[in-house]
Amino acid sequence: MTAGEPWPAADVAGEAETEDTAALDFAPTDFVAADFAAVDFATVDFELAVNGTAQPVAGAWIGESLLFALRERLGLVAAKDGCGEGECGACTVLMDGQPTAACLVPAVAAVGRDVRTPEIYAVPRPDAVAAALAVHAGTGCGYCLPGVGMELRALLARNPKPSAPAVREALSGHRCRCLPAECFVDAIGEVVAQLPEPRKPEQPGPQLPAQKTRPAPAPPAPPAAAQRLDESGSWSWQTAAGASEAADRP
Amino acid sequence: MPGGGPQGPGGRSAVALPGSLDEALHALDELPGATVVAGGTEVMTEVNAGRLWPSALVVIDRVDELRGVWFVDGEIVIGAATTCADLMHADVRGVLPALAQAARSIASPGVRSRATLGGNLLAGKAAEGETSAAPARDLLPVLVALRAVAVCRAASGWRQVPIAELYARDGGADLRPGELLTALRVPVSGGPQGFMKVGTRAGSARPVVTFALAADLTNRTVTCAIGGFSPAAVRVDHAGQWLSEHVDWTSGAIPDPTTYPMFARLVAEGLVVPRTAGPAGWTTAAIPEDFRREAVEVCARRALVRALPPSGWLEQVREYQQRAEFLRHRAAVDRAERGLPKEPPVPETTRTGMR
Repeated sequence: MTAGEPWPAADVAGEAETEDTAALDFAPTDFVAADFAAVDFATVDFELAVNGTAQPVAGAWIGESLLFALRERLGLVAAKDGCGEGECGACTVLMDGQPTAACLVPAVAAVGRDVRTPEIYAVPRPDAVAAALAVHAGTGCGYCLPGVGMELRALLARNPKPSAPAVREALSGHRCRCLPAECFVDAIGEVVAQLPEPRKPEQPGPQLPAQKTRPAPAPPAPPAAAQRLDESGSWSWQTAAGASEAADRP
Repeated sequence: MPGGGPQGPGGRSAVALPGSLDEALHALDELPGATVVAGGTEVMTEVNAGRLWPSALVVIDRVDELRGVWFVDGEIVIGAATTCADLMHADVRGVLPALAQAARSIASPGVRSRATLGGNLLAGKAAEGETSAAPARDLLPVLVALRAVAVCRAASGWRQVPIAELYARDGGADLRPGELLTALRVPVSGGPQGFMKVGTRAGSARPVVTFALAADLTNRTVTCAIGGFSPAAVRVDHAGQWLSEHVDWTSGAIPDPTTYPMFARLVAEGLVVPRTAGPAGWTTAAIPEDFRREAVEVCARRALVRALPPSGWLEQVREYQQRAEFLRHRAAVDRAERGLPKEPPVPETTRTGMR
């Protein structure tokens, strides 16, 4: 065996002549080829609106997921391929402002939709969410982080002051095996603290009407208070706390 | 089509993105054997796993006629392509609380924003088709308990069947070729509803068993259904009929506390898996029957306690709440009179519920 050859050529030749393989009158790859020949691989050409620019996709199989198109055809690899079943949340992108598991959307179904991937929030400069996640969740492996960031941005867009339970519920579909949920709650707490009080609608997605400022000291009427106790299940100091928790629920 | 519609080689496209119901039916005619995709959350799971190789797609997620909730006389019509996120909306929660709860128990926000009602009901398998990996159909028991009617549309015309009859004996969805499930008509029943689910783990998961209950205060009936243990949900009428004789209908409460465990046992009797149906999926097939039985008893008991509480219980809770509210306000007034600061010395984030 010479230094240049990783495998002795004689061995390879000898292996090809053993009786086991010689008995086969077909190549092992024929099975795969036959299987795939039976499948009608219909392809389509279409255009995706990704991160605000139109991106042509040519010759894509109709069964391809949006995630595959983003990663393998358009080179946008921030959304990660985790489970392919919508369990892990690593592939979350924003479609028309809604958090969406990109692995569960056929790429052709995203035609005409506004798709946003984690790239535009982190490159070249990280936004507030990405920066806070880097600080509070930087010790993890980071595989789930792009998806978590998209989910948190969508959450902030519809609820500028989410409570900790709201954050936990929003992240219920994001499996992070490195870090506890507190890291993400801390991160979004920092984002909320940094944002100016009258938030400008800078997040993408459907812009909901701004939350009404509530009169702080007015004691709520007993029925409203009773309902709040039912829903939140715990006491909180401020009247605004209960109201914002109720607003978390869609 | 904004952004350029899908073009196939030779001008023929294997994908149709219809914008209306007629276009969708036309596309189904033109592409026989096409896979209908609304949200794609079930179809793409199969495709990603290599179990399904679609030869053509009809994507119906932009058919506006199929999406939304209509409140009409005496009934609520829910479009089949209404997403689970839409079903969690406050308007729906107000009239169909059990359906909203069931929608909320499904998966995660990223999936619920796409997953549709019709997809949930028709997922799994077609009649006499192959068994799917894990047909969950969490919304089905609610609709069965509410006596919903499924509305199907084919090019030849409409078809309306009670939701339970939409399924064949083997639990497969009995939808004819070229037919679309367009809507579900749910009769309005004034009364409390309940939904409970026990999954394979805490949080959103495949169901071990699901339970839905709907009480009708005007007709004085209770209907309940269990699902999740087999592909199609079943109504447990004997339990509902027995229960309706043990409810104090004037106050909407249950006088005898032993009603709860008895009702739960009666519901568990309905947990009979038909031989033709089999378990709901491979993820929950290994669940022992004892556990499933106990789970459905717990579900039934809890759902009933929340829907129809014991007599006097609500009054007691209201009393406690009013007393707590009173003490809270008196403390605030006390602090103000003594000139003490109103806010506690903790950071703002803690006070708004943040850690």
